[in-house]
Amino acid sequence: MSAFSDARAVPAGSILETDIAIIGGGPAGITLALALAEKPIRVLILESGGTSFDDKTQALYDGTQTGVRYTPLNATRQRYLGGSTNHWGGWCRPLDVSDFETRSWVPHSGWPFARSEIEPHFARAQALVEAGGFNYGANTQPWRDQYGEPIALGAGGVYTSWFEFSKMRGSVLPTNFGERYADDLKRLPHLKLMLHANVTNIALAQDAGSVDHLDIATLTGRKFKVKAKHVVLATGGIENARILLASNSVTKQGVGNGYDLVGRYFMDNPIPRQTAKLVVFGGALAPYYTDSRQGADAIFRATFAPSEDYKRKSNVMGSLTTVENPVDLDALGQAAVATTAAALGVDADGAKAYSLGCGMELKPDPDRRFTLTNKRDALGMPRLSLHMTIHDEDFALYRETMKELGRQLLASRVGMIHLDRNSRESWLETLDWGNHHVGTTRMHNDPKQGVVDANSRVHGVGNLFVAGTSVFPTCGASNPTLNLIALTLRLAGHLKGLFR
Amino acid sequence: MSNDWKGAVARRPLLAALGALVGIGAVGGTTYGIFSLLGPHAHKGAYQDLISLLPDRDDATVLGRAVLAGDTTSRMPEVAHNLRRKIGQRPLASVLSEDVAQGRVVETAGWVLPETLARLCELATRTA
Repeated sequence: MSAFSDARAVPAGSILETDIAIIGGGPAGITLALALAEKPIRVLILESGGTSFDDKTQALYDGTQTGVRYTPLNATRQRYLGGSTNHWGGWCRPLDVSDFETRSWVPHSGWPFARSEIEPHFARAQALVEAGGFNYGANTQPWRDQYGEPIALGAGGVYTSWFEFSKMRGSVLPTNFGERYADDLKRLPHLKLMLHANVTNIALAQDAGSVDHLDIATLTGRKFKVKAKHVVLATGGIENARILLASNSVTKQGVGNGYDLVGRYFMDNPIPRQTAKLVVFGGALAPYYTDSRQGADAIFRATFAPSEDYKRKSNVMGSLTTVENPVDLDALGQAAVATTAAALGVDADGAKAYSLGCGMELKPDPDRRFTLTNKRDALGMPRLSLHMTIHDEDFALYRETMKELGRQLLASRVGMIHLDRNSRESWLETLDWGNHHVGTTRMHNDPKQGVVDANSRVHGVGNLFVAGTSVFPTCGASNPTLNLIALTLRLAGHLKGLFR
Repeated sequence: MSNDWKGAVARRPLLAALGALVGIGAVGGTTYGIFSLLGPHAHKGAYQDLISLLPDRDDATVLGRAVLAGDTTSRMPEVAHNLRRKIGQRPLASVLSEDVAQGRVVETAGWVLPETLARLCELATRTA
């Protein structure tokens, strides 16, 4: 077992050579390295941080923003080994089939392939995040036997779907890839992992058709180069865009940015709180709606989701609505519940109300974007500015789904819904973000519509690939980690094929 | 909103004119009919058959105020006519189930309600 190396100890001016250089030691980079280990391919992971949080390294993320309030850029990721898994919540759910489709009501939608392309990789992705059995509603009988039946909904567009959770170890956070896989990485004979190694420039060959080398810098002032047969950029949905835009020594507009797409189409899942009240006439609600529960095969939690058919027919976006906590009703609410239940012929003496929250899917918006600024970080790299948007239509489409849930509750005569938010201001009041960074190097077969092709290769640059959520053309409502890992495993297969 | 209700609103000017004519010509006639057509000042008993379908008049009135806050243009005779035609002799619960099955729900101060129930509550409030 070999220890990780430290870029601060590399002699200045060195040129290191490898088969594949992976920029970033987060879930995508670590997954890729583990998967490539099956072949005798020399892999070098270049991680900006160390093995724990460091203020100066984290400050490299500082940036500015305009538009709708968003998480400060230096707080939305943690810049050390493990990346986003240093502070993720462990929520897992595969993207829906329709998330991959070209949806007529969603401009710029459509992946270059169907979900079936990454489905073979879900089982291994699930194992890597240690989320137990890959179930997600395929067999809920044991969960229902243990905790009771899901709430009955009348026929319609919303159904009870399921999250599974990356393994919790007591009070410790879900699987942290940096800690969990450190020893595995150290055991790999062909892998080197270098800490404190910041890539400041992807230097293209003069014809701009390939990467010649990577410029590396440390916060201690050390500089050297890495030459690799293939380079994989895996620094997250924000930093991927910054490095490509800032690498402008050969192509002024940056690498892969011939059509001004890098940094655009940024997406995240808005998480508005207290979006609605769910009233259950009988009061009882299975406990897996309000909190995660331990099942025999996985930790799981129920969520209300629009069905594939409903999304297609009603032209709504994806959303995942969770039941949060019990709430009281005002006089009007009590009257509404009493009157409605009685009129439906149902007893509501024990009725209870619960607050709902959700994660929404945004439509891709080219103006929701990152751009470089004139400000520089400690390494001399330009800092980013984010222009964040969310449109009234995004809220309205989610509201339609909630109204449909309300209709289905009335149809089954088990409850009803109150929609709490009816203005942009009220939506924004409680708006939080999932910190899921999607879309800034979007995938499309046409270089005019995407930064990378279906194999995650940057259009026009033969040996440069991008891994992670930045390649998602649309974000869906599902939490991205499980999906980005499955997609990275697919990329690993492609890269291995290049070394046959 | 269903087409029935849209139709009721579209006929409003015609019904108003008709109401005025009947009112003028019905001196000595039945006050029941006049009050029924004038709507807002109607005899409270005129809609008792409908309002009695509601389980609790007080609660229904609270909810009805919210309905009226969102839609103050519909006239009671039209509302009642449509409700009677829709409900007939059926149990209210069946009518409401049919409403929601066919997507006829309305939003009242944020509450998603079967359309028929909202209209009954409106009627209860107007005649309270």
